[in-house]
Amino acid sequence: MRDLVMFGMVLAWLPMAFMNGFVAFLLWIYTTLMSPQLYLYGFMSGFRYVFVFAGLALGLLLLGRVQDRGAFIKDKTMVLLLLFIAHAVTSAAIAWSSNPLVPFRLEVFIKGMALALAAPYFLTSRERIHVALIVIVAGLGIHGVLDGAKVIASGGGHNVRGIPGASLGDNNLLALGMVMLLPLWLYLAKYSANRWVKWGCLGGFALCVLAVLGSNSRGGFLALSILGLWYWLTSPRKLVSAIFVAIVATGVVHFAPDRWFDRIATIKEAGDDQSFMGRVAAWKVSVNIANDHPLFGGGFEASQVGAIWDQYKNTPNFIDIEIPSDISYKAAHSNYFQVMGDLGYLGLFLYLSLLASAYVTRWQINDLVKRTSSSNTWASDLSTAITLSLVAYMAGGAGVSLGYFELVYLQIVMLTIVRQMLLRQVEQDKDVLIQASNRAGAQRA
Amino acid sequence: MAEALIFLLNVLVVTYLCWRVLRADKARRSGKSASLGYLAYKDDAKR
Repeated sequence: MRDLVMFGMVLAWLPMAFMNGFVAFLLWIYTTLMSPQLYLYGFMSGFRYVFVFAGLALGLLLLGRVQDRGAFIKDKTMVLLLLFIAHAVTSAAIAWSSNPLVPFRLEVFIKGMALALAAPYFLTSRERIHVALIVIVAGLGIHGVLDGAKVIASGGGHNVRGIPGASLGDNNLLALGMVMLLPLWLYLAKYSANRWVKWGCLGGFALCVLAVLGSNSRGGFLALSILGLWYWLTSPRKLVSAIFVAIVATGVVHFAPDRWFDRIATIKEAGDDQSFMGRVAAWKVSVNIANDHPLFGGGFEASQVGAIWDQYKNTPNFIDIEIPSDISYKAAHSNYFQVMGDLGYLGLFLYLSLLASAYVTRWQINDLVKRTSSSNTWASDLSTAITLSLVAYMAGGAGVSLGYFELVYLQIVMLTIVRQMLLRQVEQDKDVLIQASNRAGAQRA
Repeated sequence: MAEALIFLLNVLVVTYLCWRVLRADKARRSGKSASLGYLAYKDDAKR
């Protein structure tokens, strides 16, 4: 049945995407984040959604058939992004010959980066940015909404496991993805004109929080806590934000099942925890790979290759642990150690610079908002929502491998686009002022 | 069943959005006013 519905939807989507390149781009974002094939079990599960809509969007762009087409933005963030991509591709090209994971991971990486690089050509107005945000929360949020609903239906018994085969493949990754969405749900709730849509966004927010609780993820809990704290610290209305955070925290304490409290309590005993020690072992191996290959690392997912793990597990470094023989090759379990091991110290530097540039862009946006004549509070609020999402990513990402998550790069580029739009407005305001003063001068003369 | 309904609602919302975007762009080209319908955004919320 679902396959028939999806077949009907694709039949509706295709002509719309052909007619309008921006619609193709929206469907590219949606199918990338949603991975519809994972919810289908029949003939539509094999359809290559992302390939089709990405191909259409890029094809129409190259043919010049995109209405209100934007241009590539030449600023520091985009240069950093290009350098990061070039570096990762070079690293993959010269990676360890025994790393068989590189070709697949490189393909996924390039798909994600293509989405971010294409964004400036399509997201050319506030309306388009708003629409793209709806598509992001619809595409990624459906995973949290479904799991949150199951947590309610099971009275807290449902175990959230992640989306196998997608970017958020386990409970920790899904929890982090859902925490990252929370500020975007709130932004849309604030700026949607329709009352029902507003309530729908708040409902999506609540269900995503429940999905985080149902995941039993300690990293998700930490990301949620830091997000709440950061939201309160950066909010201009401290009392309102404190009440909001208190309501969410009360809801968490009220609805979370006992096993969740038991799991969170183990944070204190992390040193005795086999799962945590496995992560520390992976960090140690990642540091050793980077020490040996400081410029280009060991290639994508280097710590997950048995031969590489065995070669580096016993080399001593500042992480002073003896890796037990029963802990074998595994994911780096930290964005930072993942990028360090995969792309070397140079790659890590570019990655951190890119993340830092998002905060600089946010600061610039807030400055520009004050300088424009029309009200652009939305731009300021959007930049706050995106940076909050990135705060959650950076905090929760310390314990999971999500270094190349497409949403992160798309959000960083969206900030750059907003900044560019405001810069244009400031220039236009200046022109208007100059013209007005010229007219006044001419009249006096 | 509930999962299928949420899935259906999700794809319907996105389909509706795409259709509104298409319609709004067409309207704009012919000089008419354009709106995203139920999914429209509102002007800046007051701080």
